[in-house]
Amino acid sequence: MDKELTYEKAYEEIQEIAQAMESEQINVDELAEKAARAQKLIQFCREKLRTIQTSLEEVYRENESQE
Amino acid sequence: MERISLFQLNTFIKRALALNFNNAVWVTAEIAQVSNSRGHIYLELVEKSLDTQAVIAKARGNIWKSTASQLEQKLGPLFKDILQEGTEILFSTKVTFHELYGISLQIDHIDPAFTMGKLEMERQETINYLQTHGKLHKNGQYSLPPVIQHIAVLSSATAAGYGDFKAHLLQNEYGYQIQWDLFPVAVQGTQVTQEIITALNSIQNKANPYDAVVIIRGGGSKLDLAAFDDKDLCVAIADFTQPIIVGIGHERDQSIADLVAHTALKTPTAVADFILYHNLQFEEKILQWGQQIQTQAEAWIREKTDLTNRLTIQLKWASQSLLTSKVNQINLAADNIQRNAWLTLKNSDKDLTIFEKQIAAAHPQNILKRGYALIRNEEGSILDFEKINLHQSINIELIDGIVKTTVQEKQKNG
Repeated sequence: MDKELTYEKAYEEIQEIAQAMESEQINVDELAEKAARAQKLIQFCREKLRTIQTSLEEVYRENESQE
Repeated sequence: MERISLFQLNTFIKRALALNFNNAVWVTAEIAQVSNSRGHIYLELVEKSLDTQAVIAKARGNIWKSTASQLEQKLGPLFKDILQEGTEILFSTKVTFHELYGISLQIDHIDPAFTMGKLEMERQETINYLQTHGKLHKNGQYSLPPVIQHIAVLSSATAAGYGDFKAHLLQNEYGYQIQWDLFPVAVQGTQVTQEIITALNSIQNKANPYDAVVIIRGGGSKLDLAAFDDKDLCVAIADFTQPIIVGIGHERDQSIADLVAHTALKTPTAVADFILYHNLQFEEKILQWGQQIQTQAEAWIREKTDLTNRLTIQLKWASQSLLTSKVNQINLAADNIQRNAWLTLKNSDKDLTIFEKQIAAAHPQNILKRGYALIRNEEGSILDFEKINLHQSINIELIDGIVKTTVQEKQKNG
């Protein structure tokens, strides 16, 4: 996956793919490729969110233990 | 001409005096000089002109040893105080004349009330003068620094009062270190004013001013204290531009120096206490400020800690909810994409099925099934009417067989 990729960029691309699908701009030849790309991006975003969740939990655990 | 000898003359004067000064007389005079010899006291008595202060009368006086001890018993320490140069006295005397020593006043009684009253009058005059010239509270307008650390002490170096003062400052229980410079001055007698004024002048000219000037002396009688009622001295104290603290050893009475000084205390020890207490007050104030700062800082820290804790909780909730909304967004997008992908696939499949059906429906076999027939010649299917010629041999193809026939007739539609 692209190293430069950020959550925002990934999410934007997911939205583009979703919109293109909804408005039936995607032809069948592209469909598998686009679906796979979208799935990869979704995976990427979910991983990011999971990492952030873990970091947040750590941050707040530290904070609580300090109080 | 009758002649008499000097001795005869003096004898005559002696007799004449004795006749006229039968009784003792009460006389007022100022003591110009005092001397003491083998218990006898010799005085030089003068009267000065009120205007010019020039001596206008002079006489020798004496108090014999026996009279002196009687008077001392009667008057106590006052006796010695009264017999000072510059004191005005009222005394009763017998005027005697001795052929050899001439006239002399044999003092047998001294009225202390006269001297005290005279002093009191002078005192009152001095106070009035100081009051009308705005000097009574003049020195009091200068303020002492918050901490008294460096002082000038005007005292007799050998006075007991100075010793007490020193000991008190050195042995203070708070551990304060107070530095002082001693300016030795007379604290009784006629030199007091001059010496104190000289000392004050040299203090005034110092580059580094003292925190305070202290004038002290040990206890003394009321007349001893009179030096501190002197007008010039009191004016010098009043006009001095640094605070002057006096402790000139007396319990009941107040000298005029006490009235003009910045602070007046009863004894040298009391002055030392005053200085120590003054510094103690500063220390207490500092401690109090420290306490206040601590209390306020603690309150401040508590307040900020609470605020930070609240913010942390807020932040925790906000970030959690943001994350949750992002997760929901992604899930939604994922669902959406999956659904749409399946949908697109399904629709394409459906389209294909329709085409398949349509294509299947268009197959010649299927058309033939429905009762249609195909016309062919050697070249293939004939779709054009004009391409069929009369008597031409053609094949009519049905679903289940081919009929070979010849064209008999052509008739075009329309």
